Amino acid sequence: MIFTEFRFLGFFLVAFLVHWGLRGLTARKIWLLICSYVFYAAWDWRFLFLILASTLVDFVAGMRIHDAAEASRKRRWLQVSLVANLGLLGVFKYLGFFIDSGVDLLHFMGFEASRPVLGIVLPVGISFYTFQTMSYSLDVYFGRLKPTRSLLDLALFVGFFPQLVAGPIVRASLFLPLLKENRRFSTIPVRYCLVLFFVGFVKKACISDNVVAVVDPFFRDPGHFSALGAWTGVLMYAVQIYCDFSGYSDMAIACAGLLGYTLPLNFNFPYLAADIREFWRRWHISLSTWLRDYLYIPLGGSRGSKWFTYRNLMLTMLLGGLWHGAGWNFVIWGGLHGLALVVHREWERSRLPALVPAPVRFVVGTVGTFWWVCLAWIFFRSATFSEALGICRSFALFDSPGARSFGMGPMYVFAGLVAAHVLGATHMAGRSMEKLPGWAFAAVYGALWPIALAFMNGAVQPFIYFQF
Amino acid sequence: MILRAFLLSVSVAGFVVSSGLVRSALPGAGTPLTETKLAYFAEHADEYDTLFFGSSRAYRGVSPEVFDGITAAEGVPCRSFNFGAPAARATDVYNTLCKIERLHPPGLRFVFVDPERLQFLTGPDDMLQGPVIDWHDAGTTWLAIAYVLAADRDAAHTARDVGEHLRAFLYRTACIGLAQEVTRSALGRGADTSELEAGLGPRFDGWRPLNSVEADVREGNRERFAKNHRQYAQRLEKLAADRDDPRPVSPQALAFLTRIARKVEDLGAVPIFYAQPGVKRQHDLIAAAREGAVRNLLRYDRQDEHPELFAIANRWDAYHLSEQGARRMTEMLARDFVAGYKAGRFQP
Repeated sequence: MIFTEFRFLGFFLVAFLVHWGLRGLTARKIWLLICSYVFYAAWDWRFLFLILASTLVDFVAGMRIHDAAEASRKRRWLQVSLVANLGLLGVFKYLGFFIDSGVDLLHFMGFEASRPVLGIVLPVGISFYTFQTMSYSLDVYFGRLKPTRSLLDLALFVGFFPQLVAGPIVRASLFLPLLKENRRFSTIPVRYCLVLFFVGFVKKACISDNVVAVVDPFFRDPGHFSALGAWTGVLMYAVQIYCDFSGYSDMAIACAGLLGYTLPLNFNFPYLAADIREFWRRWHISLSTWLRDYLYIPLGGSRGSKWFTYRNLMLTMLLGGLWHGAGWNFVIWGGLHGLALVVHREWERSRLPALVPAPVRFVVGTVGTFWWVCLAWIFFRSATFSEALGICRSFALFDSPGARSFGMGPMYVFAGLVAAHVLGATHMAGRSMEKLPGWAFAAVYGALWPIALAFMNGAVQPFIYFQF
Repeated sequence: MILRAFLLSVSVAGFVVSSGLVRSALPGAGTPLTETKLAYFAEHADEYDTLFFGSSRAYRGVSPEVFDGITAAEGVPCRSFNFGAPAARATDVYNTLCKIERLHPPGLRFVFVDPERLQFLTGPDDMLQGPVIDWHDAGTTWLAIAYVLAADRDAAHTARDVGEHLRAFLYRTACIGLAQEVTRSALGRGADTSELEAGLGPRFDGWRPLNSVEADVREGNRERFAKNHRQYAQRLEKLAADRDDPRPVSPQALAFLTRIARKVEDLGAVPIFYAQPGVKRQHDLIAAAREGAVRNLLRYDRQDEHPELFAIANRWDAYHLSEQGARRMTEMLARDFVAGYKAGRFQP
């Protein structure tokens, strides 16, 4: 079930109406949990058992960690949680990748090895909910959070349907307190949520799903395209992945908001970032802060020598890349971002920034950061390493063997989207909508939908991040 | 509560008004070929007085060049254009007629319709394609649902089909995908114009014959047909046995045929239905003619009366005539038309 489908609309309407029709807090939570499991089961009911197992393990581990008197016992229960969650990820997401890589290495070393066929299906959302449950156990272990004694609360935290399959990755310290309070409908920001849902829908259904018509043909056969074609394909992929993922996040936050739950912001106009560090403060914020808090800082963060910091940065980004997918292309993507973060740190440590006027630094920084991000996307999207290198040559050096292009049309569309992105960052349209009187807001909101739906691609595409 | 109901009503009103405006501002989501033919016709509307409609059977099976030649020679000169398009149902024909009406063609006199496949639904996969959504206005959706309910099918299939029609109606009401062609063109991925222009045929009269050069169309059918003439013969035998099917016309099909006929008359032309040679009998059309509901029907679907149209030499496959077969059928159609016209049958 995808947020842009009619059946989700029907599902959400029922969930919403029954939720607000129920009076008691527990009844509402039970209802939302049922809805969440139905939502997940719409993909594959069998994988519900994984979510239940993950929830149960962390429920028990959380209490044991908290109740244990000795540090060694606490650590053991934390290990149980980590092994269980990482074990799930390892088996369902990475086992095939590690076996393939091992076989490739053996071949490289001259040994004979056959490739077993595993046939493991990747459960939707596994990377997201395992990170959530791990953060719960880690927070309890480090004393940042008291464990919940309610299995229902923890189950809802793990399985809450708006963010279950593609985030935002929610922290228990943020979500569990929300489950203690029975909210009234009149207190929720309905207009904000409705506008956010609309914006998310437009990003996903009208932009991301439509630019597929450029992106897919290009990446299917990149060797036949000219440098202009390569630029078009790569820029449109940057548009596609941003609109797809941030559109999903917007709709998730809006749906949760309409049910009375506030989820954290996940995107904040990342392509307007003036440097790569700022980019990561704006892109997939819930993941980047997770990686910072549970990987980078525990590794030592920047509390050491320059090279120690750089090592931590690179490790964090390489693992962040691997989190996205079980493939070397994702590792390279992470590595490119890690490299950019290291170079940016060096730049900041030098005297050079003071020599460049601030406006020039901003413009060059924004364009340069976007260009580098696009270059990294090439590895993220390409089918093979050699294809990615070929596209990089076209994209960076304007050296391409092919002659096909998409014409200037997509470039004009891209320019329009850039303008919309800049305008969106001012939040002018959203604020104007919120200032309208109730009846005017209702009329405008209703009138905007047919326009958006007309540009919707009838062939609904699955969200890109579902595969992670 | 009252305030919420009021706001919801205002929102729904905004939606309805906006969807009406969007629908009037954006072109419908017809098939690229039909849209190309419409665009061409819009520029040359005053040159034509006769139109042919139907599915790929009409698209491949009626040559305006042959028709115009014979009618001129027989003293009833016509200038015709073929609007046939692959997979076009009667509903699509009606939709195209509505679009033609908006072009105000000045001199239309005769409109030939082969309403092949009068069923409203071909399968769930077809339902969310632009042209299918396009014809699901309230009236046609109601007819389609009534047709489904009247059909002798199990409850599960009936429920599914009714649901699909309602979904398509909702999609149409909500304007879903109406701007797809605009988006495709903006992204430089619009339909291949050279291919579409080729769809107009070598003489730009809408006829694209099937011949040995054109191997791209329905290759599978052609191959199967070439390998298995026996199966074709068996189907023809079954068709012959089916000749005198006494079933009455379905009320919904009748209503739809009447709608098509009225729309043609609104265009100032005479509706003439024709049944092409094939391996499926058009029961509703034939029953409608038998019961007097369809006035003008020219039949080429009976093997005993037109054996040459069923001869393997004149066929591309079980469903379509070859170029030679199409020329032959068009000759017959033109002569029957002239005879009927001279007998006063096709007078406005």
